[in-house]
Amino acid sequence: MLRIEGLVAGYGRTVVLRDVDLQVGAAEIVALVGMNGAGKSTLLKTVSGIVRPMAGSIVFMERLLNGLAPAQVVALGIAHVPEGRRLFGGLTVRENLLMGAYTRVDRGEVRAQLERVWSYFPILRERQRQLAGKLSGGEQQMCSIARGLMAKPRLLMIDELSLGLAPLAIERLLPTLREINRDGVSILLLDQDVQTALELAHRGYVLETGRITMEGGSAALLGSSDVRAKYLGI
Amino acid sequence: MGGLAGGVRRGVTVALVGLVGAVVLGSALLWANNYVLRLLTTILMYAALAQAWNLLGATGYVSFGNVAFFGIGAYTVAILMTRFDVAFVAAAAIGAFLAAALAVAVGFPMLRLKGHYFAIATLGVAEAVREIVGNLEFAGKGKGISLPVMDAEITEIYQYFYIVMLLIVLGALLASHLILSGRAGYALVAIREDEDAAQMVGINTTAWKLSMFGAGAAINGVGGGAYAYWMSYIDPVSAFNFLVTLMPLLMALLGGVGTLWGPLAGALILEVLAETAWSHFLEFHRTVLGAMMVLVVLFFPGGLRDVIHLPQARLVGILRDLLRRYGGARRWWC
Repeated sequence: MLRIEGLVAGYGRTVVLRDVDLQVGAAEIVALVGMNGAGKSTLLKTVSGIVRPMAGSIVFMERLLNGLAPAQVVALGIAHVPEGRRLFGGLTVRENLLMGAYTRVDRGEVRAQLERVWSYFPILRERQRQLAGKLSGGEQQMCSIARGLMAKPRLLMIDELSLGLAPLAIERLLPTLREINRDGVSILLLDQDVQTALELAHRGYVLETGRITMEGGSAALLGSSDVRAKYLGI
Repeated sequence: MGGLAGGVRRGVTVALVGLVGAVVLGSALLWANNYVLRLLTTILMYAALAQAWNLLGATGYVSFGNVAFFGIGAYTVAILMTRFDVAFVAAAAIGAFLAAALAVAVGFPMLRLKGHYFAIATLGVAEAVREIVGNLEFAGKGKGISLPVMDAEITEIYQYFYIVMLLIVLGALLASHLILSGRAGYALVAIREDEDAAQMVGINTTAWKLSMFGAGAAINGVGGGAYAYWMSYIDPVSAFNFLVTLMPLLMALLGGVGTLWGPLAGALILEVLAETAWSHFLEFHRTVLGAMMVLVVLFFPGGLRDVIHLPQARLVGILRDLLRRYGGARRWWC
């Protein structure tokens, strides 16, 4: 569904990503793991049109995304859940979710999607009139994912799912993400926490200083001595 | 329940204030003398400029260069009316267009800057435009331009410009209402809250910022054009007066940035204060303006709304805090 080939990208004259190939299939959960500064966030920002690619191609459902504006990418069905949640702290939970549906014009469709998102995250329905900035860290991450889902995406990209969250809060999110995936949404998950990311994903890629150095099934990656030594400290 | 009742009560209050305001402004031609009419016209002019500033202000971008667009409008009207015999309304429309065009041209690179970098850049634009216009031969250089005075009774002239400014305010109010109350209003708030996140949910942030900057500039251009014809003389000092940037900014801050009625309330309060009290202080009133700005930003960042909704306990707390911090002050007033 998402096919990235030979992608080169960066900021100004600094090249961050070198010749990256990556694919996400329909209804698949793919993990992209790697250390701080490996270029994971840059990859997501390039897909969502915030950073322009220098070379290579990004194709989503047979459409070339290179050079599209973020609004167009969202409208095509890719939602980006940014690192650090980035909620609109002065708006309520409900308003944040409605902002996620900004590119959708059909009101009935938006209302239906809101109901669906409430069903994934019932706690957000209870907190819908609270300011998003007053939620706990775990609830903010839920709200950020829920805001992304409001765009009715085919592909949900989550940047640093577990960063700054208590283990318990992460445990609570995982079943919901599986449920969302079972309902047909592909997920591209970025995390420094390799264990969590690969446990959730079907397949994974390892990004090191801008290059993909390993790829394969989650179990195989978790079992590889290289990954265990570098990322799990075993 | 409470929220709904509160909303209705608030709606009634706004409607009442609006009604009183409409009656006062609508009947002013019947009862106001020239002095009052002139004061009202000034308030209306600033109300329009405050609304203009408020459009981009709602996105959290602070412009310190609005007078550039005011001055462009003023000079466009002055030059077109004196040299090309263009009618005032047409000249003002062209002035608005040129001001908006300049805003879009400089805004395209400048609106990539964030926070105070953008504010400083706008300050630079205003200075540059003043210097350029002040050195153009056909703009009268430092001598300025005298505009044709309307051939009418003095009272009729006052009434004419009162109506002109009233129409500009109504136009600005309608535009602000259409922008702030709908989907667009949420887009502006989202940009203010977190611009990157706004982009990620699919808001075309560049387009919104540019169009708000341009719309504000257009209103400034019309206001400046009306001001030039009203004063019937402009020079670089009066057309590019920094107070024309500062006052609307302060009015919008005072009334509440991003709100529909805030800039209007702020304009009324500040201009009446300026007229009644500070005019006695001549240059000193700028000090008072500056102090007010600091106080509003520090204690009431939301403007008048914060003051009105402030629980009494907090107000007392703030006063006590001030007294404790500046204990010396207690001695001189007790």
